[in-house]
Amino acid sequence: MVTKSLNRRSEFFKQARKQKSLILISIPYFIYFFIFSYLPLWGLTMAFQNYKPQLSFFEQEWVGFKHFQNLFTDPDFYRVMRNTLGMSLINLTLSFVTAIGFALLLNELTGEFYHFKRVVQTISYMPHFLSWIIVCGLVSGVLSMDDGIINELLLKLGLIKEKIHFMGKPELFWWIVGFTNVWKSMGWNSIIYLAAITSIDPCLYEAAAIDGYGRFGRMWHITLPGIKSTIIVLLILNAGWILNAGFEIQYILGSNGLVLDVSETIDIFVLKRGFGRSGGFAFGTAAGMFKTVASTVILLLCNKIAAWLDEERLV
Amino acid sequence: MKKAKFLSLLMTVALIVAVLSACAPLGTGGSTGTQTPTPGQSTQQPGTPDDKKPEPITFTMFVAGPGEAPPANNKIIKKIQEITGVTIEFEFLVGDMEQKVGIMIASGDYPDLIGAGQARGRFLNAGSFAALDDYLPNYPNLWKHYEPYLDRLRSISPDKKIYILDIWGREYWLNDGEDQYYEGDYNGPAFWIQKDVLAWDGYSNPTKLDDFFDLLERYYKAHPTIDGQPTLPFEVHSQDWRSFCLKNAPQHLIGGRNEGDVVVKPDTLEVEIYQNKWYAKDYYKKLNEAYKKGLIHPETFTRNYDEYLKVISQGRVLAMFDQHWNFQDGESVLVGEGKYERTYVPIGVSFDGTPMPYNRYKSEGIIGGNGMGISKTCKDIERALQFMDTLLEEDVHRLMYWGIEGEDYYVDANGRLRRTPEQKANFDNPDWRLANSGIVLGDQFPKLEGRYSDGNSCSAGTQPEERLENQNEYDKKFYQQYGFYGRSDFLPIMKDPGYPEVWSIFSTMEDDNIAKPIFDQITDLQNRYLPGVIMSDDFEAAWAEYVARYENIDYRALEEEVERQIRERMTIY
Amino acid sequence: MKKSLGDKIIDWIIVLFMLLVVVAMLYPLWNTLAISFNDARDSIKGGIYLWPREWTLYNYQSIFKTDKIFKAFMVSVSRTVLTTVLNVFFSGLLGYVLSRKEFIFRRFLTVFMVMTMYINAGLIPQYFLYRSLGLINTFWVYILPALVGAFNVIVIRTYINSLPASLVESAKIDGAGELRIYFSIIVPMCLPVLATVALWVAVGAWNSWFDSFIFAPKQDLSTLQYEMMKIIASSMQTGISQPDYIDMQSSQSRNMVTPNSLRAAMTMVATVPILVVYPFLQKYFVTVNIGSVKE
Repeated sequence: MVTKSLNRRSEFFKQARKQKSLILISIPYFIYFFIFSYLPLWGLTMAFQNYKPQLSFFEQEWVGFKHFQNLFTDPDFYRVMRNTLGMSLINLTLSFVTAIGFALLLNELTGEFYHFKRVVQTISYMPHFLSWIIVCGLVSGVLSMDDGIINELLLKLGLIKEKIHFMGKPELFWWIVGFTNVWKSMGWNSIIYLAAITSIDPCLYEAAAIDGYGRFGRMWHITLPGIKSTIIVLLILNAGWILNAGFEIQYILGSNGLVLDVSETIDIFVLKRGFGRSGGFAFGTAAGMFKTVASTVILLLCNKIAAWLDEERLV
Repeated sequence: MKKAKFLSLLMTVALIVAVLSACAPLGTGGSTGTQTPTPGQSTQQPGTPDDKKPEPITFTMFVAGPGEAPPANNKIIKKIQEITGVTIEFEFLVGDMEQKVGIMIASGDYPDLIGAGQARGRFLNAGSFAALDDYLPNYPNLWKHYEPYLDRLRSISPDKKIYILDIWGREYWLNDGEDQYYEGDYNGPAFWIQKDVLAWDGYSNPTKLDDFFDLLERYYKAHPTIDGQPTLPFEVHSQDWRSFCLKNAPQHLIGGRNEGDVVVKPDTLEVEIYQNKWYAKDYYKKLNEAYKKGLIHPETFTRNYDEYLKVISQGRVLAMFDQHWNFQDGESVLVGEGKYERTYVPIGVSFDGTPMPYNRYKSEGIIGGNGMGISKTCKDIERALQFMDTLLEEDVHRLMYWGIEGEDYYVDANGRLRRTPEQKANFDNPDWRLANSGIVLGDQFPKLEGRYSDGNSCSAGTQPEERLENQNEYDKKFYQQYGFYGRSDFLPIMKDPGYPEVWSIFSTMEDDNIAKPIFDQITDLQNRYLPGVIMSDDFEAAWAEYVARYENIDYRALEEEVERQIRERMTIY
Repeated sequence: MKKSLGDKIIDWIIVLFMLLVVVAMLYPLWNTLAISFNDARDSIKGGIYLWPREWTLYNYQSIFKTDKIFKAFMVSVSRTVLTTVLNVFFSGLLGYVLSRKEFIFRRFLTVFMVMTMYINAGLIPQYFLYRSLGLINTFWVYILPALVGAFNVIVIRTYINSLPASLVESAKIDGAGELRIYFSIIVPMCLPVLATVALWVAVGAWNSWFDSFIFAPKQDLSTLQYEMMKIIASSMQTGISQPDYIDMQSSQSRNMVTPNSLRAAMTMVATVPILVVYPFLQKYFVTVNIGSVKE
């Protein structure tokens, strides 16, 4: 027994000696992350205080879990959680499917379409550079009842009889957010998949073609498996962001009374509740802490699932 | 290998140094307030600017509101710099105020001067300002400016000292019977209606709510489109904090002033929340009828502010409840195109037809808390006050608000300050103003309003001669029909009720005041439900549900708290 | 390989679909461009689609009326370049370290790093940290907090993992040190992913304004985006203060620029530099000679 653990320990040190330069390179990173991300965590103590900014740490009044109690007993909290998760799931699904699909289709454009493909790619990144304020202006313009192009189009095509009041319909709001996200980031998100696709061995395609796979067969059997690890890593990472459904678009487009019930996310909730009230900072910190913990749990869960499925793991 | 070691060693050393310095202030962070200078002990003589060239000094100033800092070569600001030796380095608010102010308070990293704006409550509660009680009497102009209102200045702070100097509301009048011509046009809340609608109706004044909407309906039938686009008879803007357009009308319909979310009974000072009272119900019922008749377009509730301005500038909005400053950017487009008949006048609508004053009342002095303060870390409080005192000299003030004689204005034979059309056009251009006028500086500091001792207006825009000359032919004719001097005359004048508008009480309330969360709740409830109530098929049912939710909120506690605060202030106003 | 008729039809269907995408993506920016060149007061009336109705340069002039914007532009450029170079270097190096399966601290360091993406201490502790590091109101507050990006590291690591392991092995046998392997083998192989990360970092650095707002409000350190935010905020003059206290005199005169038009012009000013740069980086995404790596 003793010898075994001794062996393991000496094995460890042997390894460590061999990896000296790797370890040396790592040390500054440990320190860097510690200082810039972990050191400020003392601020989380605010969540347990009746925090007043003008008082020093030792003068603060400690209130235990009061802010968490307030958070979990607030009926609005469950409403905004529902909205956050709902919009997050829609965003996640739509943005993954469209970005991957877009990358796959782009990848199909070869030969004489090379330049066309480059132009399409370049243009598809553009919306990413527009600020949310501008994007929201565009969305409400396009969906307007007044002279919005979508309503005009649907009318002309005979799909609807009278114009739809898009921005006033609660059942449509999540989807408007979802598709706006798609519009804004589909091209941009596809970059990473396109980069991954370039690392697939071209011989595989030739072999598949010889085996009689068609265009879509090759897409399905070669390209998708080739970028699988990228997809899975991104899925796991994004799962950790599931409580970040966005802020600006809901804040700008969803602040009217007609859709307020479905538009408010946890971030908006925190901002509204924290606004200038006693315990505002503290309450916000508590909510932020809840978000961190929940995100971490989800992240680790997804990582475990990936491990079970014997897929690429994040950590 | 060698390289890796060296690199990582370097990084490690650098970071360890950083860690050490980072660890030191842990826990003590945010301890401020020990270096507070004790004012008043050393009564320094305020140096007069004339006898010697003042030493140059730069004050930093944070303004908790939007704005743009003037360029350093602004000719007026340069002149003022020569006179006072003072340079002001502005920082205007750009992002979220709470975050910015929160950081400032938590870190104690204050600028020298603070334009408190809407953050006044936060700064006051955090003790950010230097108390000025002992300083003020040393500065003749400031003392004259504030001496009648010291109690009001003190009333807003937790420990009843003077921290914030109001920058608006101190008016100087000559009482020669002409003061009234120097007032600006009414810019506050009212039912605003296009002049053409009134002219079409034979220059009527529909002060009864039913008549008002009846006129809109008749005009709409006769003019379904305006300039080829569908007419929008009545807009109810409801975005964000601008939802006062949706909510604030009922208080005025029964004759109240613009208090915000409560009505104060004038004789008993009883306070009541009104969004669930009969007069609110009757009003929203009227809007519900109007909605069903097609007078209110459903998109009005989802239009953002830009879009709201757009439909107004298209000239197809017949009427709305709003405050003039809120929609004037849209209206100014109409003015620019000469479509004067599509611009607006306020109507003092009520339920029974008695014309109501809305928010037209003669204010008496400052209200307290609406201004700027000197931070407790200011590098030279005396010097800052001296600077502000100098700005209140009439000559310096004229330099800021009128400009340089001969360049920006001229003096006619009667000693009146006048401007040529070009000089006025220059001044009306915000870019020119930023580069060439002192207004951008003056706006952030205590200032004179009303009239100078020689009878001229304290600022160019309200000089009566100019206002008459600038009235266009359409407006002249239009107002003649009513026998009015301008649009303000549509509203009767209310007596000053003697306490500050209630919404301003809210903004200086202490953070943990009991009324604050309740206020948030009712605001939220109203924004959430009222549009639906107006658009409902069954008004009575929708209203009943809305009122039932109201009863779940402890709004009576808010009413009591506000009433207590009003009584407290009544004694000093 | 000759394309069959079916392949060609599929090609053209894809092309058609892509054209639709292009129109949908391009139109809004084009529309913004048109509005930025159109008279502000005219724009308010709506109906500007592809072409300005009343041409003007005034919206742009009002942005560039002082040299502030140029100075801010320089700060933006330097912070973007420096951040991008450093971040790509450090993220890439760590990505390489974490790609080494035998590395004993691999899992620990990965968890330690990934957590930084999800934990958030809040603004106030962050401010205190930067203040004690002496970063407040210095240029370095733009650079130091952004030296490594956890997400970028993961992306690079995943990419390296997809490369044949034999490359590193053979180099090790040749006795090359870690840094040499990184520079002479990994970096050239990783150009596509490094270019991708570079673009991400550059866009992030270019577009951020919040750090100026909180940590470096000094005028000398102002960035283009922060100046943009300032102009937007100030053109919404009537936005924050309460009704009766707005200076009637100064707000009575007509505004020659509306928030909307300013925003349009500013979007163009802030977007064009990055629009000019990214097609050059894009080159790297596709021109990788993947044939050279064979197992």
